[in-house]
Amino acid sequence: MAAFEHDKIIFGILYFCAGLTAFYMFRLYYRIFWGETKKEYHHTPHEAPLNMTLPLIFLALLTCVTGFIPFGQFVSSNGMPFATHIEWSIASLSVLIGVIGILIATIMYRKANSKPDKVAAAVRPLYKASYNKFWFDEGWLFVTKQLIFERVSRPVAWFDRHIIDGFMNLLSTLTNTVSRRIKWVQSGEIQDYAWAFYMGTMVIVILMVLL
Amino acid sequence: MDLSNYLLMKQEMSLLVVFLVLILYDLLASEKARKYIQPIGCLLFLAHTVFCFLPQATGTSFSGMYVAGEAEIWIKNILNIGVLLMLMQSNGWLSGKEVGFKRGEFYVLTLLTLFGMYLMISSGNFILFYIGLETASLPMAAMVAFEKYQNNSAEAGAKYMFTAVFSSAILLFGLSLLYGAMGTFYFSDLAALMQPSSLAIMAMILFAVGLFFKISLVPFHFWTADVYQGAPTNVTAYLSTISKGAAVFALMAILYKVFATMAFEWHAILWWIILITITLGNLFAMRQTNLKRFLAFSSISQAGYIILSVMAGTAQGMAATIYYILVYIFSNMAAFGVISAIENKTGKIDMADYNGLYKTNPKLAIIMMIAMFSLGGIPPTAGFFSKFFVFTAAAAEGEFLLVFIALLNTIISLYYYLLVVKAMFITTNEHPIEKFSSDGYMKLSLIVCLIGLVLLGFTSGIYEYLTNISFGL
Amino acid sequence: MSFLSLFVIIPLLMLVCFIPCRSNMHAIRTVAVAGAALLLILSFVTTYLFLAERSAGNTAEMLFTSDILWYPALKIHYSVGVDGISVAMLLLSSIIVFTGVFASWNMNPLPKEFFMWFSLLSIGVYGFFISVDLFTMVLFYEVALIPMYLLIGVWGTGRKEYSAMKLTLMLMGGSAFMILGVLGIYFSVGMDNGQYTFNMLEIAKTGIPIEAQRIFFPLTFVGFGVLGAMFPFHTWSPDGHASAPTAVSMLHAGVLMKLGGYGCFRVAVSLMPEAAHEQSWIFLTLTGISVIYGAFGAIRQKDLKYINAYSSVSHCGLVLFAILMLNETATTGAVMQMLSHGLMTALFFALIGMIYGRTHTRDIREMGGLMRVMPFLSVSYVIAGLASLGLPGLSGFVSEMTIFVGSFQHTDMFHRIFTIVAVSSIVITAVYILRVVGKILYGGIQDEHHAHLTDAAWYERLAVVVLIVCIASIGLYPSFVSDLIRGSLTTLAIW
Repeated sequence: MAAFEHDKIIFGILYFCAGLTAFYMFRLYYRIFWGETKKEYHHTPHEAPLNMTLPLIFLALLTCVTGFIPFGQFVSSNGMPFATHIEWSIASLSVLIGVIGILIATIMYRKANSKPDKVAAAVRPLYKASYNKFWFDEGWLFVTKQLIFERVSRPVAWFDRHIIDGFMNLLSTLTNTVSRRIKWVQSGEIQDYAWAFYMGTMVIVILMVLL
Repeated sequence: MDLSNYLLMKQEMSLLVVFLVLILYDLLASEKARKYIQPIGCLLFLAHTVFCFLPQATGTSFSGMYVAGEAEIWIKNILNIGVLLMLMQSNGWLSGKEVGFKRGEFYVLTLLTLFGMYLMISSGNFILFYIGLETASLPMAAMVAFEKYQNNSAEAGAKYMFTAVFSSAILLFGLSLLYGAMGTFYFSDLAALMQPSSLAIMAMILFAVGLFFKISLVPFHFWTADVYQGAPTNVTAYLSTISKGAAVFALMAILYKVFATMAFEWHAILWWIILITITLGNLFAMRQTNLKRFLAFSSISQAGYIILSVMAGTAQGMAATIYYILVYIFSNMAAFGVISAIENKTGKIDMADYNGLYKTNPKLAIIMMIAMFSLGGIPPTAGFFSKFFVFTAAAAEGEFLLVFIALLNTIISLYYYLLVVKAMFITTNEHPIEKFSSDGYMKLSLIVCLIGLVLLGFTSGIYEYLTNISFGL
Repeated sequence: MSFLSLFVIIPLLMLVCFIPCRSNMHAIRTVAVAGAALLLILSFVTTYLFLAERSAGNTAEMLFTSDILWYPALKIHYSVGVDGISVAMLLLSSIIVFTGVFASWNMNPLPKEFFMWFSLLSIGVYGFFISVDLFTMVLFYEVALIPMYLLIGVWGTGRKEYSAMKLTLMLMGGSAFMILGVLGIYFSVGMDNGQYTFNMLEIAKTGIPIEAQRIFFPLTFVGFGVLGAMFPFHTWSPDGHASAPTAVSMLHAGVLMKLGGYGCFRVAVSLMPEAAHEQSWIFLTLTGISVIYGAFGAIRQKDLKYINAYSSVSHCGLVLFAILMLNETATTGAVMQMLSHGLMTALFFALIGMIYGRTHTRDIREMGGLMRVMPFLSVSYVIAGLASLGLPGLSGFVSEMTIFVGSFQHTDMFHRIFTIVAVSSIVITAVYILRVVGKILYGGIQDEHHAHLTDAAWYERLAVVVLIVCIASIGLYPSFVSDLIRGSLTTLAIW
C-alpha cells in the first residue's frame, strides 16, 4: 500500500512479484506432495513424529492469525502508535493476484503434463537465465579468479620475485662480477707493482701540480 | 757532555736497553739458557711497556729534531701493547724446529724496527724521519723472510725489499725537492715557510706517496697481499697493525704540522685515494680463500677508513684515528692469533679448512667471530665505536658523500667478514680441525684482545683522553 | 640509574647465565623461562608505574629518565626514558620473547647457543625502545642486526644461508642510510649555535634547519623503512621469515619490524616534521604500494611462511602509511597496529612452526583436514586468521579502524584516494587468509600420515593461549592501550 501511494511502477513490480511468489510456492507444493510417485527413495518417506509436527502445527496456526495483529500500535517509525486499517481495494487486488498464481500453478503442476516444458520452450533464453541464477556466481568467480588472482596477483608475485628481488640479486652479482674481473690486476709481478706505483704518483702529481 | 737532550727520549732509551739485553743474552747465553729467551723477552718488554705508561715530560730536544708531545707518547704506548701481544702470540711458531734456533734474532729484529718507528713518530726533522723510516723497513724485510727456506717467505721478503726501496727512493726524491724549495728540514721552520708552489706540492705528493706505500693505500698497495701471505703469520700481524699504525700517525703529524697551508691539496688527494682504497680493498677481499691474503685486503680497506679521519684535519680526526688504530690492533691481533694458533698446529690457512670450527674449537671460533665483527663495525664490539667516531670526524667537516660511500662499503665488508663466520658456524665439515689447546702465551694474548674488543667501546675514558691530547690543523 | 636499564641488564645476565649450562636442557630452559618471565613482569610493572605517574599529573615527555654522560667530546650520553608508545612496545617485546621461549622448547641442535643469541637479540630490541639518545639507539639497532644472521643461518630451514645473508646485508644497507641520517641530524642541530647533541628531546625542542631536513628526512626514513618493509626494500622479508626458525620469525616479524616503524616515527617524523609534511607524499606512495602489494603477493604463495611474510609486509606497510598521515588519530592507530600486528604475526608464526614440526611440510597443497587431527592448533589458526583480516572483537579491527579514520581526516584527494586503496587491502587479506584456512584446516586429509599427528603440547598451548588472550583483550577493551599511546601524542608539537 505504501508503494501504491508512492510510486506506481514499484507497485506494479511488487504486485507482479507477489503473484510470482504464489506461483512458485504452489509449484513446489504440487511437485513435492502431488503427482505420481516416480522416484526410488533411499529411505521410505513416512509421517513425521509428533515432536516435529506439533511445532509445525503451532507455526501454521500463528501464520493464519498474525496478520490480524494491529502492528501499528506497537511499531512505528517515530514511536507513536498509529492506527492501521485495511484498504479493501488494494487488499482484494493482492488476493486476486495470489489466487491467479495458485491457479496457474495448479494447471501446470497438479498433474504431470507437458505444459511446463512448453512454457520453458517458449521463453527459452529467460528460462536458461533463471536456471543459471542469472550467472551471478560465474561473474563473481570471474572477478576473483581471472582478474584478481591471475591478472593482478600472479604478476605481482612474479614482479616481486624477479624484478625487485632480482634487482637486489643483481647488485650482489654485479659486485661479484666486478670483483672477479679485476682480479688479474694483482698480478704477482713486482714490475707491475712498481709500474702502478709510478703511474699512481705521476697521475697525482699531474692532477695537482699542473691543473 | 750534555745528556739532557737524551733525557726526553725515555721510551727510546728504555727500548734500547731491552734490545741490548736481549742481543747480549742471545749471543752469550748457553744452549740451555737460550730456551728462556721467550719468557725473558716478554717480561722485559712488558716492563718496558709499563715504564712507558708512566708519566713523562714532554717537549722537544736536539733543537727541535726530536719531538715528544702527548700524542706521540701515547701512540707509542699503543704500539707497545700491540708488539707485546704479537711477541706473546709468536711463542708457538718460534718454538718450532724450523726457526727455533734463531728465535733470539726475531726479538732483536722486532725491537729494532720498533725503534725505527719510534724515531719516525717522534721526528721533528725529515732526516730523523727518514732514518726512522729506513730503520723500520729494512729489518722488516728480514723478518718477512724469516723462514728463508720456504719459497713463500723468501719471495715475500724479496718483494717487500724491492717495493720498499722503490718507494723509499721516491720519498727521498720528494724530500730533496722540499729541501731545494725551502732550504731546511726542520718541521717548525718548514711550517712557517710552506707555500703552495708547484715544487712544494710535488714534493709533498712524492713524500706522501712513500708513506702511502707503508699504509697500503691504493694504488700503492700491491705488495700487501703477497707479502702478508708469504710472511710468517706473526710477522704479518706485526706488519698489518704496528707498521701501519706508525706510518699513519707519522703521515698525520707531518701533514698537520708541516703541510698545513696545503691542506686543500692533500685533502683532495686523500678524498680520491680513500674512495678507491676502501672500494678496491673490499672488492678484492671478497674473492680470497687464503685467510692471510683475505686479512691483507681487509686491512687495505681498513687503512682507507683510518685515513678518512686523517683527512678531516681536526683534533677530533686525530683522536678518532688513534682510537681506531688501537681497536684495529686488538681486532687484527685476535684474528691473526687464531690463525697463527691453527697454523702452528695443523698448517691450514684456507677458509674452507675452517668449516665447522665451532664444533671442535668453540673458544677459538668465538674469538675469531668477535674479531671479524669488530673489523666489520658491529656493536657491541669496539669496532662499531671506532668506525662511528671516524664517520663523525669526517662528517664534522661536511664530507657526507664520502661517509655515505664508506657506509655502503661496510655492507660489502660485512659480507666477506660474515663468510668467515659462516664457515666456522654454519657450514658443516666432514673433517674439521681437531680440538687442540695452545700454550699459555697465546691464550693470554687472545684473552687480552677479547677483553679489549668487548670493553673498549664502553670505557669512554680512553677516547676522552685522546681527544684532549690531539691537535688539529 | 633508572630501573629501565634493567630491560637491558636482565637479558645480559641471561646471556651470562647460559654459559655454564653446557648441554643440560633443563638448566637452559630454566634460565630462559626465568629471564623471559622476569622481563614480562618488569614490563607490566613499568606500564603500571607509568600509568600511575601520568594519573598523578606528571606530564613530562619521557618518564623514568636516566642520563649518563658517556663521550663528552661527542656529546654522547647513555640516555633512557619511556613514554606511552615506548611502554606499549616494551610490553609487546616482553610478551613475544616470553612466548617465543616456549615455542622453542625443543630447539635442536645447540639449544644453549640458540638462546644466547636470542638473548642478545632481545638486548638490542629492548635497548632500542628505551633509548632517548640517538647514538644509543643506533648502537642497539646494530646489536639486534647480527644475531639474526647466525640464528637464521644455523637453525633455519630451506635456503637459509642465502636468506640470512640477504637479510643481514639489506638491513645493513638500511643502517647505512640511518647512520648517515643520524650524523646529519647531529651536525645540523648544532650548525647555528654550536649546541651539538644526540639527545632526541633536545633536538625536538631546538629543531633542525629546513634545508638540512630536506636531505636527511628521506635518508632516515628510508633507513628505518628498510626494516619496516617499505616497498621496494622489503624483499629481505619473505625469504628471511620463511627460512628462520619459529621463535626467530616471531621475534623478527613481531618486534624487529616494529623497530622500523618506531624509528620512523621517533627519529624521522618527530625530529623533522616540516620535511615530513613536505615529502610525505613520496613515502605515502611507497608505503601505500607496500600495503596492497604485500596483500596481492600473498595470494599467490603456496608456502605458509611466505604467505605470512607477505602479509607482514602489508601490515607493516600500513604502520608506516599511518605514521605518514601525520595526525594524532592515525599515529595512535599506527602504534596500535604495531602492537596488534606484532602479537598476531607472532601467533601465526608460532602456529606455523608447530604445524610444520608435525607435518614436515609448509606447502598448502599438501595439507588438508587438519581441523580433525589437531583441533587446538587449527582453532587457534582460525582465530589468528580472523584477527589478521580485522574481525571486530580482535585487535586487528581496532587498529585498522583507527588508522583509516585518522587517514580519512585529510580532506584532499591524494590522501583520500590512498586511504581507499589501503582499505581495499582488507578484502584481499580476507581472500588469502580464508583461502589458506579453508585449504589446510577443512576439507579432506590430503596425506594419510597426517591423520596420526598429535595436537599441541603444554608449552605450545601456553604460548598460543597467552598470545590469543592478549589479542582478544586489546580487541575487546582497546582503550587501555589507546589511552596509553594517545596520552603521549597530544603533547608533541609536530602536527
